Amino acid sequence: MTEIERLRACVALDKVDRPAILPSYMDRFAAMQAGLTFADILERPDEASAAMRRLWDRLGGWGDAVYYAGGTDIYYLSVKFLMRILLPGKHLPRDSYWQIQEMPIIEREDYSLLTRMGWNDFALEMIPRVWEISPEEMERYGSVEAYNRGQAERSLDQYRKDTDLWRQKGVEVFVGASVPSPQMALSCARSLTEYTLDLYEIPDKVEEAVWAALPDLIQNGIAGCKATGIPCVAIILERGSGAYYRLNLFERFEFPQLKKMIEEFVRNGITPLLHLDTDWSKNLPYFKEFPKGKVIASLDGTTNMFNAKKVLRDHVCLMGDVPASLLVAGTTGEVEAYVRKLVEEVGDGGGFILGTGCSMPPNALFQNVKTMIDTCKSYG
Amino acid sequence: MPRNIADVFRSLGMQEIEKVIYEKIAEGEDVYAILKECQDEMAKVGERFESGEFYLAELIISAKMFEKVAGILSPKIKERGSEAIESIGTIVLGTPKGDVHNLGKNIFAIMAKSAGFEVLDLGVDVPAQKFIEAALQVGPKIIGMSGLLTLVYPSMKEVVDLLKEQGLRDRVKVIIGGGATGEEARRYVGADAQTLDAAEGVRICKKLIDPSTAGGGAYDGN
Repeated sequence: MTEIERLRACVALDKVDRPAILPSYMDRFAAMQAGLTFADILERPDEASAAMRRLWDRLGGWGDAVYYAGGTDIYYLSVKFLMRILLPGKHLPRDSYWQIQEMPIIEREDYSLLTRMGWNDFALEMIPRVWEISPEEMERYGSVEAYNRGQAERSLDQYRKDTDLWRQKGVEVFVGASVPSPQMALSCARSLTEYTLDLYEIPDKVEEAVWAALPDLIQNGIAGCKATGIPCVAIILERGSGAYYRLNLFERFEFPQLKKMIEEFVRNGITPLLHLDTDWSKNLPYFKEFPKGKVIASLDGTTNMFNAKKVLRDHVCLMGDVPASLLVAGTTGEVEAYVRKLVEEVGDGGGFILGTGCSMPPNALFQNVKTMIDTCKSYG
Repeated sequence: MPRNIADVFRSLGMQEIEKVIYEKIAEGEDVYAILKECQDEMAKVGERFESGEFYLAELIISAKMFEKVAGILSPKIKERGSEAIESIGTIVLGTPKGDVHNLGKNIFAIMAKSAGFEVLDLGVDVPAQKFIEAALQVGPKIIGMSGLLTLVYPSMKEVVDLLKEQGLRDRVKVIIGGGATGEEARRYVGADAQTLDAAEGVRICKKLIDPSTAGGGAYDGN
C-alpha cells in the first residue's frame, strides 16, 4: 500500500495497517525551524516551500502526503474571506505572525448587492476594502479585475511548481483547493459580532445572501481542484458550529449549504475535507447525511474526538486532533500518550487520519512533532 | 406593553434595551438599582451559557446589550461622585505582545464588569512591562491574558516571571484564555487558571478571589 493509497483507504473507511498521517499547514513550523521570518514566507514562497521539504527530510517524512504544497498565499487568504490582514514586514515586525483584523468589511446594505451579484463578482468589488493595491500595480494591471486575475495565475503557477517539487521527492500533495462555506465567508466579511446580530435581526436577508454565494463557492472549489489536478477541497468552517449558534440557525444558514457543497464536490470526484475549528459536537449527528466514506471531518481539539468517533463511526473519516497547546508546551511523553489514545480509540476499525488540531503551531517543539509522527508510524 | 429588564435580556432585545433603561430612569428609578438588575441578568446569561442553554451568539448579543446599558448609566453614576459602585476586585486584562486578537478578550471584559469586577483593559499587543506597571498602579487581584496564537505563550510567561521578580506574584492571580491555550500552556506560563470561554473565565476569576464561591473550572486550586 502506498502512502496516498493509505490516505484514500482511510477516507473510504477501509481497514488500514495504521492510520494515515496528514498534519496541516506545516509552512509556518517549517519556516521557524529554518530560521525564516513570517515575512519571508509571504515574500519568498520558493524559500518557504524549500524549508518545508528540508523539514520533511529531517523528520523522516511527516506524513502520507503533504496537506498544502507550499507556503501561505496571504492575498488569497484575504480575498477568499474578505478580511483585512495585518502583514509582517508591512504592518507588523517581520517576525510577527500575520493577523486578521476582526472588523466589518461589508455593511448590512451589502447583502442585497451580494444577492444580486453572486459571490465572485461581489468579492471582486470588495477587494479594495481588504487589499491595498499600490499605484504601480494598478498602472501595470489597469484594473482590479486584471490584478486579481494576475494574482490567481501567480498563485496557481506557484502551487503547481511546488506540487511538482514534492512529486520529484515521491510525495503527493493532498489538498488541491480551499473554499469557505458561505456562512464562514459572510461571518468573516461582516465580523463575527455584526454577523451574529444580522442573524437575529435580518435573517431573511442573510439567508438570501448565503444561498446567493453558494454556487460560486462550489464552482471555485471545483475549478481550483481541476487547475491543480488534485481532487480534494478543504472547506473552511469554524463560525457556524454549535459552539456559536443554536441548531435552528445551523439548520438554516450552514447545514443545507454545506450539504449541497459536499454533494456537488463528491459528484465531481472531489473529496471534501471539512476544516472544523471550534466545537462541532452538537452538529455531528447531521454529518450522517453526508455520503458515506467520501468526506473527511478535520477536528481541532475542541470537539471531543472520542465522542465524534462514536457518532460518526463507519460513516465519516475523522482527522485530527493533537492540540496546539500539547505540541508547543507538552512533553514528548504526553504527546505519545495522546497519539496512542487517538490511534487505538479513534483509529479503531479505520476511518481516521492523524493530524494536528487546526494547524501545526509555528512554535511547536520539534521533538513533540517527531514523537507525534513516529508514534503513529510505529503502528504500521 | 412595557417590558422589564429581565424579559429584554431573556429575549435578547438589542433594540429595546436602551428604551427600557431610559424609561426606568425617567420613572425615577435609582441608577444603581438599574445597573444591579442588569448585572444580575448578565450573571444569568453566563449561567445559561455554561449550562448549554445559551450559545456564544447569545453571549455576544447580551454583552453588546450590557455595553449599551453601561454607556447610559456610567455618566449618571459618575455624576453621583463619591458613591462608587462596590467592586469585587480589579482585573488587569490584555492580549500580550505578539497577538492583536481581541474578540474573546472584549467579551470577557464585559462579562467581568457585569459580574462586579473593575476591569482595566490594556488592549492588544501589550508588552509584559505594561502589565507590571498596571499591576503596580492599580493593585489588581487578577491579571487576565488572552491570545489566539501559541506564539504568545512566551509573552504570557514573561508577565508571570516579571510578577515574580517584582515580588507581586503572591498577591496577584493569573488566568490565561483563548482558543490555542490548554493545560500545557497554563503550566508553561505559570498561570493559576486557563479557560476557553468568557463565561467560565469569569466564574473562575470569582473563585480565584473567593474560594468559597460555587463552581469549579480549569484552574489550579493551589
